Amino acid sequence: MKTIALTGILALTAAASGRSQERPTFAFRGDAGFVWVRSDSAVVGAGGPARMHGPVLGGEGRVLFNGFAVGVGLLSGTLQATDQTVKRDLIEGRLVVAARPLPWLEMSIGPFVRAYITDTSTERWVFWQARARVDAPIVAASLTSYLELWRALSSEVNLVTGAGRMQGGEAGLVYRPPQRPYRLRLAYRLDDAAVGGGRRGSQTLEAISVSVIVGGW
Amino acid sequence: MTRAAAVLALSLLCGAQGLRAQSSAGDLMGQGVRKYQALEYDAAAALLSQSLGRDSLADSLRARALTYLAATELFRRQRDSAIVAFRQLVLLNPLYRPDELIFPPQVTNLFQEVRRTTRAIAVSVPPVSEVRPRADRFFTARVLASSLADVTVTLAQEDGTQVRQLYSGPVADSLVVTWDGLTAAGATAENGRYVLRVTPRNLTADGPRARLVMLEVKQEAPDTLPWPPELGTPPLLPDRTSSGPAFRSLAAGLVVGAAAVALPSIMAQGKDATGARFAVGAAVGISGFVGFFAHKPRPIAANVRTNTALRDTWKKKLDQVKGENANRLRSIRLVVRAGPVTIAERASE
Repeated sequence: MKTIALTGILALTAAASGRSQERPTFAFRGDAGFVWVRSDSAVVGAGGPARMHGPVLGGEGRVLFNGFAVGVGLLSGTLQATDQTVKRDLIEGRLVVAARPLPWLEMSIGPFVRAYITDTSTERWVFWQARARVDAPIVAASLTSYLELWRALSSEVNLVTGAGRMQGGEAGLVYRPPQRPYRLRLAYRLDDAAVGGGRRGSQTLEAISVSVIVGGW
Repeated sequence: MTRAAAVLALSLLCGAQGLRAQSSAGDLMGQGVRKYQALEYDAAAALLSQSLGRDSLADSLRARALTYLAATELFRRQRDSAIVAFRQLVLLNPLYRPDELIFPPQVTNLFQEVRRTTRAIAVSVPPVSEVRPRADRFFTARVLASSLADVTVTLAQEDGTQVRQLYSGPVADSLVVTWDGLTAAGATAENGRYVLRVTPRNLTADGPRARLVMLEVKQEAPDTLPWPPELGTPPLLPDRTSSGPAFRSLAAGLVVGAAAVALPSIMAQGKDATGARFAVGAAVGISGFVGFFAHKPRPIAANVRTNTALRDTWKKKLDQVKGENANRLRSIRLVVRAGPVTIAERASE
């Protein structure tokens, strides 16, 4: 699976660089949000609470050229158990290569890393995502809705049980204020990871975020 | 081949016999005239009587034969026979007059005497006439009378329904009656068969009988202009913005909003999820309604003005075509084909 993902990335970047005759443009997105993590597995988050939540901050930068984009994203925050006894840091990072075969469709692929860090241990997930995003304009050029679904091509976790199927999605709204160089985004994201082939439970991450986007995304 | 040859031979034989019958009637009349000129009146009377006995003799020759027969009978001192011949002549053609250079005064005087006492009418129509109703082209019929007679000239449908009375009054010698192609109600005559009837107003047992002519009337409509094509798009521009974007916006908002709400069910197998998704789903759904109302169809003033001008131009053109067609239809043409003149039965008068 990883080979397939790498091949996909290389193909996309090669095609993008081969056609790169326009000057690249840059885009940045800053996110502020709130995350909920729920784990119904005895293994996942062993020694920790089953439900955690907390605010997060993040961002992503992209280089765009000829309908292709290469981006790097980072998100970080501190999660706290519902009973406020345990804290964990959440860090997510990803590399993405994206292309738009159609004006309303973006396909992307890339590695994704998520880590839950405590003072004594780090639970690290690494997986390769293939994503498809559909943009559905509501008011042309000023208000657009979108829906993005993804699935992991491969996944790893430093837990004894190992990782299983991973998939998720994101739905949201992008608003461009008139005569302004930025856009505002409201999004809801859900990632679900099965542990041990699904027989040992799962871990679900939900996030709601507000973002500011500068540049052509 | 044999059958074809037989048919051809039979046709030629029949044709030759008809030709011979016609020429023999004419020959007989010619021989009779020559006998008259040779003062052989008995022989002339016999030959002329024989020629008149043939149906194939044309009316013009028949009139000539009757004139010579009457003169012959007069010179044979058969005055009554001469009167009978002249009476037949007057009935045949009320306008016929014996040539005064050929026949002596006693012959022409007798003819005038018979003509005065024999009341006869006739009608003559052209075989084909072209009539333009409400224009200056009429159908004409010439009514002839041997002596002063009161006649009524009517046009009726084949079933007897009167269409129009064309004339009613005296005819001294001849009268031209015209018909403008209209009915009594002023409408153009329809296609069909009509009867032109010339009837004496005072019918008597020994008086002249009505003359009938069958007329075949056919309307020939003039070419009319086609109506201008209906206005469509193009050249018409949309009067209002399309409702498509409004519904697309609404659909986008509702579908994506519903997807946000349904994400846990789809991706996390319905696990208990937070209410955050409802906030985003509601926001996206409401945006869909905002988009729907933002894109609601509304008039496009510039297009409305352009379309109004286009429609006005089209209507003017249509009115012009209608006017031109109405003018053309007013000049409709009637072709009138006349049949032979027949004499009415006494009972039908």
